[in-house]
Amino acid sequence: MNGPGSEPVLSSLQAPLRAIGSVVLPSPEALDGEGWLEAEAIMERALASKPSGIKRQIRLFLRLVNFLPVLTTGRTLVKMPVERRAAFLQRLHRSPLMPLRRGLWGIRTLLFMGYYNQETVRRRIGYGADPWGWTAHFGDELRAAETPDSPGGGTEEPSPEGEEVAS
Amino acid sequence: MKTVTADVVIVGSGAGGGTVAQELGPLVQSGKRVLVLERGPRFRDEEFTGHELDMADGLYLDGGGFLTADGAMTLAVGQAYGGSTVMYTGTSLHAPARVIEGWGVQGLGHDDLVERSRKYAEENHVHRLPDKEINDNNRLFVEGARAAGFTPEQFPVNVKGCLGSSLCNLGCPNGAKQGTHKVQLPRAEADGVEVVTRADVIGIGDRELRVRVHSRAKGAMGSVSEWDPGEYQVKAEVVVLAGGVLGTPPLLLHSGFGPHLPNLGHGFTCHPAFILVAEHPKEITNDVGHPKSFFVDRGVEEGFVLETCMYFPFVTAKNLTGYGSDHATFMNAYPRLQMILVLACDKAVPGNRVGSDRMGNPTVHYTFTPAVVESLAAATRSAARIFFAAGAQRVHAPLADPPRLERSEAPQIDKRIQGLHFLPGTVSVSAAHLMGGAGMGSSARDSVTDAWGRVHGHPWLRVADASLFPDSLEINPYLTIMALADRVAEGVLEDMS
Repeated sequence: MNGPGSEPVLSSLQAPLRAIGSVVLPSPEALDGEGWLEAEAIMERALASKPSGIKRQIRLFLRLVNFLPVLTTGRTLVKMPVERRAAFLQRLHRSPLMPLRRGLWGIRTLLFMGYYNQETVRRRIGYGADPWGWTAHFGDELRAAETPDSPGGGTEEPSPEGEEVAS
Repeated sequence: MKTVTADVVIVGSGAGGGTVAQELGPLVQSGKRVLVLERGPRFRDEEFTGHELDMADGLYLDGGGFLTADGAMTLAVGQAYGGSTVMYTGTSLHAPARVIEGWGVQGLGHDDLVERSRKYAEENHVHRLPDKEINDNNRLFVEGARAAGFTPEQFPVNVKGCLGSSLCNLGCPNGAKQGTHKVQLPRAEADGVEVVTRADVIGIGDRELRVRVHSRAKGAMGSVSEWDPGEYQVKAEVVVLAGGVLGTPPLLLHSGFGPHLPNLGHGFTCHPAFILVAEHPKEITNDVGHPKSFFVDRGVEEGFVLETCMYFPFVTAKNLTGYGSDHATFMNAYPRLQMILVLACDKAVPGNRVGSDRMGNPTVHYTFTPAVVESLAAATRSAARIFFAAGAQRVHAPLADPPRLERSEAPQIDKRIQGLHFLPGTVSVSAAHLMGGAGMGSSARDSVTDAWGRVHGHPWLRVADASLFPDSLEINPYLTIMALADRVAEGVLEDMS
């Protein structure tokens, strides 16, 4: 979902983005076509409200990272085998040039955002936070006994065993 | 442009603005008009779904991704009716005497601050959680800290009817957190104080403000503004700025106050922080229960504080160093993860400052001093010891290279975890305790305001937020902000009488 009038940032740079994702993401093979599309939609949504300067930097960095390996290997990042891709990105990660480290950190952050905000991934890693808190984890008995109101409705009862701070 | 006239205008509704609003309620009873202008929207409890991306988008400045100028640190700042009190964990500590005395602000006494802090601790239901509400993530911290020779302390928190959702930083879905959105602002509104949300103050002149009220974007969270969208000129006898460190100093700088206030924007500190995670052999309760119940304070001895914490999958992934298999090892062990937040007690130094770009947007220039890096390294070593003492199998330590330490490597903690591995742009550092930029003092030569938050040379203008701190507070700041705001309100009441 993009903001009104905003253009997609990543649509023309899907290949280098996925090439970086193949190294950065924990189980890129677990992302099928739909998974990647969902990840990219999440990233686009986050980018939609960013200033145009940031969007320009992201596009520029992805193009740069794709073509930088040509200088030393004759291949773009997209065309490199995964092992060599990983070695190249590791050099960027430890680069003495802050803009390169920062750029990779930014793309890595975007990829993690697209990946770990997918419900299937959150379930797979075992994340289970729930608005119902303890009652969601430990069953309906607690729910019936302690929380007559629904989450979102709140409760005004003070925590009965709460210790007041000594003043 | 519409013109609105009031007696007092408060900019911001967080710990500072919300407090001032409540304390000025009696003015309304005596016929004065008091306005609160809040940049963020007003949320209903049921909008706090715990959905990480939606909440970050709706509640935080830049969706939680505001970066310092060099991109090396992320700053978390709330934007809502209630400001950052909506999305903090409610930890409420009294300012240490040594810190307040160290600030050396004439007319600001530690006893006075503590007395005022106590008032808000009581109002906002600050207490320590009972043992039965403490989860394994916190319990292991206490056990590990004791076994490793530290003295853990329990955080007093301001919750009431907490169900243990663990979602504090995304807004409490149960209305349990007693921030200003639950306590001070409703009381102020009951007294007749008017709160206008989605109201962005874009300029300030002599007793007047330029305000832009935004419409609600389609599909966005939060209520529409109380005023029609558009630009307003708001005139007032007294203006209180409480928009926080990324609000107040940038607004003053953008409005031309800089030349007369050479210290404006300077003295910025933020308790730079990162998270450490450790994997235990068995599942623990970590994403249920209050996430931040205990801490170890080594501020005096080693310049750091360790706090329990538990973050959401994306924030956790972002904050772990690196990527690939080591990173995945920890993320895939989420139900077995224990987390500790390490915070450095940074000091105000020349060059670390908050500013404004030509559009009025905040900018922050921050360099990690060698002392901060060393504090972070010492904190990381201490946290690793606590993890292993608590029984962890492996630890992710951002200042080790590689960052993964197995239990068998515990004896090598001192060697493996060192400040020399701190490379900005590779370690995810963040901060939520933004302080300074409009510090208190005695004159414009050394500060921006006096000890009662009055801006030097502008008797109609006061500051009531963490910008007032002349240096780091070295603890979680909200209760101290409220105490300082209480002093500001007292000053305004004296002025108005």
